[in-house]
Amino acid sequence: MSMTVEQVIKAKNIQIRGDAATWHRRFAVASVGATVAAAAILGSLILTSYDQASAAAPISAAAVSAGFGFDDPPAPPNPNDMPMDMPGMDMTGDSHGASASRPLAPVLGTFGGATSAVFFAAGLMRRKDRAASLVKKAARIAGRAKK
Amino acid sequence: MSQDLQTRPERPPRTKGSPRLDRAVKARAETKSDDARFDRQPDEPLGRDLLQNRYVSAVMRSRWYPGAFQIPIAAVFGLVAYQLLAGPSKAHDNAGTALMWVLWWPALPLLYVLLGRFWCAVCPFAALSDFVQKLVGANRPGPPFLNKYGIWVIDATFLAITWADHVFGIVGSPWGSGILLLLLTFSVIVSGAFFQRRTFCRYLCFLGGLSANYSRTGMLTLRANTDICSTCTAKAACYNGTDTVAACPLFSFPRTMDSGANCNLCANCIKACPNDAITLTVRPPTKELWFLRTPKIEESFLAMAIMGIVIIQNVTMLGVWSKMLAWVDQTTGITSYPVIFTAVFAVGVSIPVALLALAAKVAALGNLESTFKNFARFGYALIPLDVAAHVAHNLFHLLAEGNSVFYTFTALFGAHNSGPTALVGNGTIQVLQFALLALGLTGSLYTVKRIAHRRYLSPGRRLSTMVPFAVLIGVLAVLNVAMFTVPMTHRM
Repeated sequence: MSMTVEQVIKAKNIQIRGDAATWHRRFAVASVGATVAAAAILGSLILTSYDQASAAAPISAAAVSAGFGFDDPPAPPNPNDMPMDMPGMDMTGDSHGASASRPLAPVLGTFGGATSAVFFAAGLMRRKDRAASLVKKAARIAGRAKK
Repeated sequence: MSQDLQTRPERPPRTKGSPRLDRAVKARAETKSDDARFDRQPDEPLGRDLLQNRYVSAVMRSRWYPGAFQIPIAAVFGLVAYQLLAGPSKAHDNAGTALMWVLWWPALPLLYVLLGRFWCAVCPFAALSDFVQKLVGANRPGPPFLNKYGIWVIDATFLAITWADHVFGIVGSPWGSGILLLLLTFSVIVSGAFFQRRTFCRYLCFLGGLSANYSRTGMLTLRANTDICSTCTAKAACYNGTDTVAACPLFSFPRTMDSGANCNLCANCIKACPNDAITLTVRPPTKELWFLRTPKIEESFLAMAIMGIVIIQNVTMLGVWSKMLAWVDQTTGITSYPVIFTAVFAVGVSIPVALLALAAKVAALGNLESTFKNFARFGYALIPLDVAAHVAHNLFHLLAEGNSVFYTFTALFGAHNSGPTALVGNGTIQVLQFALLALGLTGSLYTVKRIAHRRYLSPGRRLSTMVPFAVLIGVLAVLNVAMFTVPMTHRM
């Protein structure tokens, strides 16, 4: 007695279980993707408004002074001597002056969007791999039944 | 035909005493006997098994390990990320910058020396990778080129990030640090979504490469008892995992493992092994380097690149750096910082690599092996000095700016604390820095001696190998000492 792959799949109820698992997974991926994207967009909007507000009223951390407290204080290079385009050496500027130059919303939006796209692509790939593995499994069972 | 052969004039006999020939014959004979002797040498002896202690064993076998560490660390990571992206824009006031670059970054190399790659087991990126994998992971095997060239990719990433730090301002700018964190997070998500286990941690994480090198000096190591493993019928449960325990995340098979470089002490193998064949032992720092069997040139290169990076980090924080920039501006007219820094960076990283190549070339004349082999084998001996220089550099930031962690952290809760940022005086810091460099120097010199003695039998071969590498180690140590005597700028 020989069975076709379709018959084996039907007989073993593989497709039905596979379908349920796939839909469950799809739903989970879609929800996580949507949550990440929503959180990224909303979060970035909230954070941008927070930045604008804090730029107007500097918070207490700005009051931290730059005391070195050395026994024999070293003489670090004067930031004014350094070229103005030297990055990472903003030791003279205002604590909150740069907040306007932080493109938080687009950066977080891009991050959220790209993450969602990766989740979606990986989910599709996983689905494809699982389908291929189910077909292989069914073919193996069919081959065994043939013998 | 046979007549031709008979009548063909014989080749003149090679002149006895030809220096080149003698050298080649001697090299072949000595290398052969040393190779045979090296193959017979025992592997690294293991110390007392910590898993015999019931408390350590209970912790390592607990289902809450390493999760119990991951959760609070992930929470702190979240706070750091939030602060970097949305907190005060000036590094001086930002708790994220203080926690990341003043506390965590200096503590990391110390952690590697004490506990090996334990950090990698509790790293929030590893937890994120596992989470993404569980959720959507396609679980494809990693690309084959990563297996072959993974360490080169790590070398390149590490150099690129250091370069970007200076050119785009990462450490000194909370926003730059935040973007770096986002990029790393995205890379982890991509890797976790498509590839199996922790492909990112093993093959792509620049910190993973650093930790792999540094953890070779680590005092804690995990190995398998090969006598028990030889009778094992569990189908490599330590590598493949079981129904309840995940597979080894870093693709290491404990039975054949001879290094802690790719073990993050996640304890999966300890939990999965049905025969209790896994051991966790304490050893003297740098011991693993004395017993290396298969040195890799890319790992030696990374050791030297790290030395170059430490030198560059030091130079750019010295008072003389701004004078150098002004001098370049006056003499060449180049005012672009990225251009000047790129040139300095290329030279700075190349110097230690070129010095090691030179030492390997000189050693090759004495031990009659190839320069390539000498470079790969003895580059590892520089790792103790690397770690010491790295810790010494960061010790300055930790001790001279340590209070800023407290000030910026309490500022999050509205407290107005201010005062000196230094935890100890400059003199104390310098003494500690020099002590660390002395330890590193001793460790490196001793490692050169142990590698040379294990590899070569004849005293002449050993000496001619050790001298050039000892000189190199001395030069690099003196260079570091000289830089630590000059005042340095702060990160915050």
